[in-house]
Amino acid sequence: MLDEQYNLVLQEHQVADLNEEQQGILEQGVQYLEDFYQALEENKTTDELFDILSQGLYDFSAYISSLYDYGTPSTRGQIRIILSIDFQKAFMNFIAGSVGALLGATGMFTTLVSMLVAATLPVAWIPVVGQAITIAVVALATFLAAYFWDKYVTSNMRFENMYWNVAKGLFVPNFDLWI
Amino acid sequence: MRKCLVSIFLVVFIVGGLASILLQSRRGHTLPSMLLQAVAMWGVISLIGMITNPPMTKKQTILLHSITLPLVLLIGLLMWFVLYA
Repeated sequence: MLDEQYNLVLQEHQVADLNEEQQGILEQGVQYLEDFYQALEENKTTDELFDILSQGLYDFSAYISSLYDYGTPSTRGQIRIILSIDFQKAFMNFIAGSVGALLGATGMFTTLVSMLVAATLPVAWIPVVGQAITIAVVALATFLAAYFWDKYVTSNMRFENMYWNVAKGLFVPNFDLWI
Repeated sequence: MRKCLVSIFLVVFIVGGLASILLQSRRGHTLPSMLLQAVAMWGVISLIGMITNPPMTKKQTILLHSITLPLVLLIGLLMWFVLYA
């Protein structure tokens, strides 16, 4: 059945024009589907099933949706899925951490820490110690903010975001080529 | 020196952050991505701290950042072990 679906995709989207890399993406997507069906038959847990899906089905689906929306790669060879959903997740997690840093590293907090250590240290070193403690505390808060954001917000991102992926792919440089 | 430090912190934040994001999007939460995130966070926090606090002497500045960079990397390492390892 999967082979039939794969061939249907090839016909509908003239994927014969795909280059080797793009062909590989499609085949990889089919492989993910096969792994998923296999896992279903083995009665894996929901978490395990989701892990399999998240390994690559998002990218695959986004790629297919781009073919639907923007034509064949041969005529629009420069149009690619640039930002995968994993990239969006990572970006949002990082921003969450950065916002945590911005909120935490205020001058008021630094001043408060400086005041707390003022009683025990020579005056000249108060700013150094105050800032060092502030940076350590804020760094800790940053990691925790990114972690909880990842756990409770971006983990709920689903397929509906893939069209946003495609739209952004038109305007953003191809990060895929950088790594 | 202040302008130079601002430039350094900004570059560290942007380059470190982008590298961390790319790594995380490709390989998930790995130790290198966490450490890169730590370096990026160190950059932005130091930048904010420098802007919002009274100017320091050169000696104080060097001391501060030679303490905080390893400290933040250590925190990143610990967080990776606690949260993801």
